[in-house]
Amino acid sequence: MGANKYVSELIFLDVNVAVQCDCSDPGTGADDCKCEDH
Amino acid sequence: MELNKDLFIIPIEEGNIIYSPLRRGVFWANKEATLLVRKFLESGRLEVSSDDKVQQYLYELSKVVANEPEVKLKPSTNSLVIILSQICNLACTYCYAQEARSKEVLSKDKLKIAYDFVLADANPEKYFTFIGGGEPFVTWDTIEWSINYINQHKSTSDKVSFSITSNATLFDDYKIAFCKENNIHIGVSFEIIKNVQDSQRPFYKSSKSTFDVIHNNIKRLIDSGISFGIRSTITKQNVSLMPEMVKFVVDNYPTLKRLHFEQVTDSSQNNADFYKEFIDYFFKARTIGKECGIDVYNSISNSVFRIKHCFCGGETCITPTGAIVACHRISSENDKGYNVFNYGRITKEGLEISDFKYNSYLEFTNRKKQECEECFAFWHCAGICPMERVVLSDQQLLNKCDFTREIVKRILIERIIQQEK
Repeated sequence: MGANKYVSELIFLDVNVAVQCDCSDPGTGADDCKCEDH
Repeated sequence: MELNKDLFIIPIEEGNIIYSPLRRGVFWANKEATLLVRKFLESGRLEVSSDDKVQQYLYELSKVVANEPEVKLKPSTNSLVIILSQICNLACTYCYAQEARSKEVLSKDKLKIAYDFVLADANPEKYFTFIGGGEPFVTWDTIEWSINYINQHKSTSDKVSFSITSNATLFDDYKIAFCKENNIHIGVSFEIIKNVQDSQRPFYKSSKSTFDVIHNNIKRLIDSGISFGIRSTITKQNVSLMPEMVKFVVDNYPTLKRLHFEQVTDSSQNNADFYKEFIDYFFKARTIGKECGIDVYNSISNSVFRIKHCFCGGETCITPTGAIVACHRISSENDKGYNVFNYGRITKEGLEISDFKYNSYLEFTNRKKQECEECFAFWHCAGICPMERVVLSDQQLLNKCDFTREIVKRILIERIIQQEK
């Protein structure tokens, strides 16, 4: 990225195709969401 | 899905991010390079043997299979979220369970039926999460009984994970040792900065500082070597303090490597100014965290690394009355939207799940706005948290869309810069 560049490298993100919501903590599988503000 | 339907030009300060969500590919392009991408989007034609980098990238992306995520059709049968009661010793200003308060505790007879249901599932990976409603440690005897029951009745091939979300005010040596012995992950809800914690999360019946108690208890968790995390709710009061919160954690809780800062869901706070401020300070906090080895995240930054069809396919959450709901935040008949989220109940014969009601919930959660189809964050946000759709106004939901797109965009920029270093 920057004034003299044409493009950056093409990168591919590591990703899970999930049916779970992002409330879950990917590290523990525990619900660690949004949700737990209590 | 063809590449030209899965390719977005996202303008940033200088140049554009070119992003293919389903192929997981991303790169930055200057104005000239972006013109070629635009041309491809209009024509759908690739120049296969070009020396040009953009053409090469597009060709490379076109070779990747675009896997769409599965559509969830049934409630989880290997994962249970348990609200043992709505009883709490704190009176948090933003608590989602305020309307649900009652003294009822989920009976062991009902719990046995729910645990047996999950333990009978063919998937050996099983998750049990105790969460509020009320503070789970208020009903410690039932938690201890539950863990023992599940451990005694699981099969040898089962891989069981336990977690408890707690306000961390009611720990003692015995409970910590029990959690450690049973490999229970503790999610601590805590605001980190003393005056904010004491103001947003005070005791229900005492003016004593909750911060002092929890700070001490977190040190006990660290000493015990137990697995734990901290999740802070970010409101207008502490939105500018996120960088300070990270520094406090670095100085005081050295074993903690992840920190969850989640924006409050509150119809009186979720306006465009709040979201803008959140983004500014969240990314400052994230930068400090990176320098100190701490991953600062929230539900949206997490979502960039997952793709999904709907934001939440619904939990199998059991409430103190024995009802089954899709979201533990909407766990009582007093809560707005309860009829949409409730899809079953525990009976003597087992878990009675209404396909009709569950499908109605899915229909609700799968419903998207027309704009969603053109949005580069579609596969991450997937239509926004259904609970928020119940709580927030139309304008607030539009603000949330902007917020989501901005975070996704900034995370993509972070990854590109990281790659270039």
